[in-house]
Amino acid sequence: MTLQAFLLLAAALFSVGLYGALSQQSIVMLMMGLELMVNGLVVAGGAFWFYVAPGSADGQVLVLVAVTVMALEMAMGFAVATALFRARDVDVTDDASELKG
Amino acid sequence: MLQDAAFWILALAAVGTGTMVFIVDSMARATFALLASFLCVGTALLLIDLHYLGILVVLMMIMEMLVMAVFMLMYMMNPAGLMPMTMVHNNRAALGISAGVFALLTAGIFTVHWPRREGAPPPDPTRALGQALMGPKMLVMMVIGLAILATMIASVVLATNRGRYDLAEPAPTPDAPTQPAEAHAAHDHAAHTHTAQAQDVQGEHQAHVHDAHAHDTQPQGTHTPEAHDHADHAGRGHEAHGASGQGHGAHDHGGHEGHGGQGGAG
Repeated sequence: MTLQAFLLLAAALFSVGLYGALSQQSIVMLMMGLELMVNGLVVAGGAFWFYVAPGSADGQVLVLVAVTVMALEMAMGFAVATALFRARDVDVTDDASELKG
Repeated sequence: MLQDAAFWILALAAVGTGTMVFIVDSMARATFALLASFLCVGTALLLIDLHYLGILVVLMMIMEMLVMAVFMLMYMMNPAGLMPMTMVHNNRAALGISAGVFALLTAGIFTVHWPRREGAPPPDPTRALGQALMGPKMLVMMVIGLAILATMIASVVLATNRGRYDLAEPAPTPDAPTQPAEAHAAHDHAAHTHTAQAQDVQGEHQAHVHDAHAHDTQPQGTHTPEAHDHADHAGRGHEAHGASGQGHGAHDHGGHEGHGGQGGAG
């Protein structure tokens, strides 16, 4: 186990999640991709804490923030999906194109 | 050595189940594949002394994925996976971008000169985390708490069945008055003033009668069930009118107040 091995795992998870977030049409599947990306951040934060600066708790705090973000992202994502579905029976991203930035 | 083997098995399992999320046909299976990926990551965190955070990830993700499974069943057309399912757009570009990102990150991981390890892990990392959160990292804790509160409020506001102007769709009441909007608003305004005067002079019961009179010209002084009903209907109908978003600001105000006074009297 090295820092590089953990970061490789993090990069793989991030990339798989990125693929899902970019390619999925269903809003729920898209959120799964986002969750996988944050999952990669959790791994990277933990690895940086253990292999770079275990003396301070900064890395652990980062992991805690990432885990919280994961939960909040899912809650808000489902709330938006519910609002969209109630308003216009939409549950795929292509039909919600007015949300495009 | 044993730890190394465990890490690589967990890493492969995490990435494999993470990939399965986008391969399997069923939404429910995708949810549980994602859960398996999170469990592998949580266990991998246990290998680097993050006992609290590893268990936290495991427990939180079990609950989160169970909630997600419920939403899956709610929103998915193919929750049981009985048919092949591919719901992707721009698949090749997405594959290319994510492969490129992975290559870039991997190149960075193996070429960057990472800093040397400073310090040693504390005997109890959980205690160190708790003391940091309650001490120098208190701001992080406060921001997390506020963010959770804001998310709770915002998600409830978003998910309730209401549109931008109170009701999502103005429910057509079968017995709502069919007067034009201006006349209607004027009626309510009159009701408001009548109500206010009557409350000053004669008390609540009389106010109720005046209210009904202003709307539907009931004989004054007769306090019949019909009077009650008509007043109520008029008020309700006006509410629906206000909810439909056509602005009659001042009139709406008067009308609502009249309605409120009447409700209080009743």
